[in-house]
Amino acid sequence: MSEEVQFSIQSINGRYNFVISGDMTCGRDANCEAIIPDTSLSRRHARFFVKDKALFVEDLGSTNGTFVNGEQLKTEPRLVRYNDIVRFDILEFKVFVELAAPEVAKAPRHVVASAVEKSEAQAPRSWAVNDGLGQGTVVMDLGANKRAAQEQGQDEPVLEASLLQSLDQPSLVGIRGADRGKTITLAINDTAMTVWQIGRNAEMDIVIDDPSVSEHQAQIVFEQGTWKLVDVISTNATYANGEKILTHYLSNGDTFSLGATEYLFRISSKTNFRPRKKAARVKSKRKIWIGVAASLLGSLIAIYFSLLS
Amino acid sequence: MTFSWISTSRSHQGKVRKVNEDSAFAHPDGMLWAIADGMGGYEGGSMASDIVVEELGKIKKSDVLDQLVQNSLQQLQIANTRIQRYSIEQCSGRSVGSTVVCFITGADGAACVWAGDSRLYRLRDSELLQLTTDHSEVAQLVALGHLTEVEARAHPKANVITRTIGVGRDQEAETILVNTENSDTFLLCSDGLYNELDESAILESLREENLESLADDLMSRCMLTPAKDNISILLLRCLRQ
Repeated sequence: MSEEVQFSIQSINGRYNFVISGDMTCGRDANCEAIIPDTSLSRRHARFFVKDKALFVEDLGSTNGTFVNGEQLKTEPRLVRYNDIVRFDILEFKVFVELAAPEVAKAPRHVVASAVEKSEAQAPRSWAVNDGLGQGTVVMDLGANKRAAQEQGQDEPVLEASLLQSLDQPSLVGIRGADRGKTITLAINDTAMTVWQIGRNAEMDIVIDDPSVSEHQAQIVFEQGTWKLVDVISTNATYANGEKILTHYLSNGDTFSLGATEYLFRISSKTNFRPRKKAARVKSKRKIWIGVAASLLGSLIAIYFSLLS
Repeated sequence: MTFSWISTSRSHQGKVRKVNEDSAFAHPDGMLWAIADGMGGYEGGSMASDIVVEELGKIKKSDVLDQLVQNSLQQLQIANTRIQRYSIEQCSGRSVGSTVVCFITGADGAACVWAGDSRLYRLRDSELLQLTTDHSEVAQLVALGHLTEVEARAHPKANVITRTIGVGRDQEAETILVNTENSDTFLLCSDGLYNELDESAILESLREENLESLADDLMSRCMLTPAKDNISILLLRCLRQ
């Protein structure tokens, strides 16, 4: 019977998942074991470590603080356990614990098959593969961690082609969180200026049913042909293309997130993801080359005829 | 001192599952009772639990507990091999297996043989005691102090078991001796029961004197819950002769 357990932390927004083996420093710095490129974190923000088979976290003098279940850490490390919420400034992580898989390298992928072939150098024999066919009892899975991450498919952005094809108006496509898979059309009422208020409040133009979104978090402004995303002093900040923003000019294909909810901004399905200019430039370059080639050929023919005469 | 035993069993597929993969079994010679909870999807799970009880049914009558336990373990080993063959031949090597919890009585005492998360409880003097420890990932985490019982139920790996009949090369059952007294009531059950009803709710049902109505009461309580899994129970009562 294995007594080894494995701790991991998973961000509530679904973006990060770190398995803790030994000491794990979290922060923006590239030398951290858990690199979290989030501007609200310090370079070296906090450290997790396992002592006496229990998990601890300590703050490394971060600017914006480390919190466990809402309580800010001082200099002492603190014991954390399953389901505790560890927060770095505004980024929340949930603590997870499971039994550590046995030495995976030695372990056969399919215990059933291998049991017949050979019996040596294998993990405890009962730890077979969960094929996911039954929802009820399953046998312990060697590659469980990997699959557990996949099972949280909720967090994987969804970008089905069918969703995008039907768009012929400016719209938001929910790719993560509360509005995942939903399309919100942005109907322009006034070409001079139209504003959409976004938030959790029912009176918003775009209501997001997600507790991590502020009551009135942001607005989208269409003004004389340009699209703008404006953060309205939110608790959990608004991100565009992964960057924390206050104001951001939206281009076709941009993604932005409010709390755990993320959208893709599309002006029209006919527009390509790539900026048009680039395509145009390629075209014009080709034209020039054709022009040059044609004139060269022309002059060659002219010389030939002049030589003949 | 000899005991006589009365028993009754119920098994239901529950409200969500379309197939009942559980099997409840009482040996015709009245010295072995078992519940097996199969897994493996489609036909596999119910096939596996059927094989387990079928093999247990082949045990010859004996009064010697040790003999009976040894025979059960042998039969479980045969079941293990049969399930493996079935998995390879019919399920293209997919993991197919079964839990088992089996109560065995001889003239010289009683024992429990089990693998996986099916349980044996004993009710004595209005106290319900879980005699088996689940062979499951969360049970180990509870034992190590990382989870509480309540947290274990909601843990994403609550349904992952670490010992089975049929998945590994050998059967992996554990054996314990069980102390029995006059008018003890024993409950064998699959996880479908205790995942829906906590021990206080089970205890409430067990107040009923009559074994049959006790079983009915337990099942009807269970059917008031979401009943997400197959539910199987087997009740045994010990009466001094």
